[in-house]
Amino acid sequence: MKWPRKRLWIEAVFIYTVSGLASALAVGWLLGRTGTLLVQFKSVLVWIVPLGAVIFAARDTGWIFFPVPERKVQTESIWFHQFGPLQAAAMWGLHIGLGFFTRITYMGFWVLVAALVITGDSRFGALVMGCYWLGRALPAWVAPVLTVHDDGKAGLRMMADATEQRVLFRRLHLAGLLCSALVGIFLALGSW
Amino acid sequence: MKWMTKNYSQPIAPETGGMAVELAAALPAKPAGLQRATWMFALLCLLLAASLARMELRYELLPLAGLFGWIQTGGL
Repeated sequence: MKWPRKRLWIEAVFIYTVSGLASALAVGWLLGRTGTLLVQFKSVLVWIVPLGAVIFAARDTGWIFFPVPERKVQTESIWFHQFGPLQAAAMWGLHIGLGFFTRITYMGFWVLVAALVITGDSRFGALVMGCYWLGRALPAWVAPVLTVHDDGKAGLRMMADATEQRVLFRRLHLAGLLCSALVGIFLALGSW
Repeated sequence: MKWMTKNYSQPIAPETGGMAVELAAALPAKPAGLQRATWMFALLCLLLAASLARMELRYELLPLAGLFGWIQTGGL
């Protein structure tokens, strides 16, 4: 790979990460802020996190089914062609970083949202959503080392690999939900 | 408009890391390792959660959030 192309990639992913982080921090801050309005219901609301996590875990195992509350849209891929890689990266980051406005495949996101509203701490909210975003952006950084590409079909292979690993993601997500439920119970007992 | 004349038949799916892949199509080839990377990241999150819980219990949500984020992108 020639250096200018590699540099462009690094710049684009960096911009994607930073712009998404800005969105995520803002959303987390707002969620925490929203929680301050619900402080009088806190004693009841604290049980939403463990209860929700257990219900979502039951959904993950297939015991119950209900649709994920989400907007069934991806971000606009056409921005890449319309605005070029750097500007598109910024716009993708800002859009996806908001969290609520694109697909939410796994319910762990909603557990985090509930937790942030309940804590009513905007700084902590920003911190948690920032971590969520960094987790979301990290696969973009490591994509080149996870992908075999010698024929220009890297994107397809990455997606095929991700599809094959869906069972693993589901299991890890289930583990994450159960951990969240435990943390939620301990926090509820201590009233956060 | 200029962008309308371009061929955009190539797959771009930013939420699956597609943007990075699209832009990195010519980076040096290496073996696929999404599964290994996911396990390593999950383990890292677990270790972080264990460490942070000593500081304050709610900080356990930070690595869990990171794990949920990784899963959301990788497992889409």
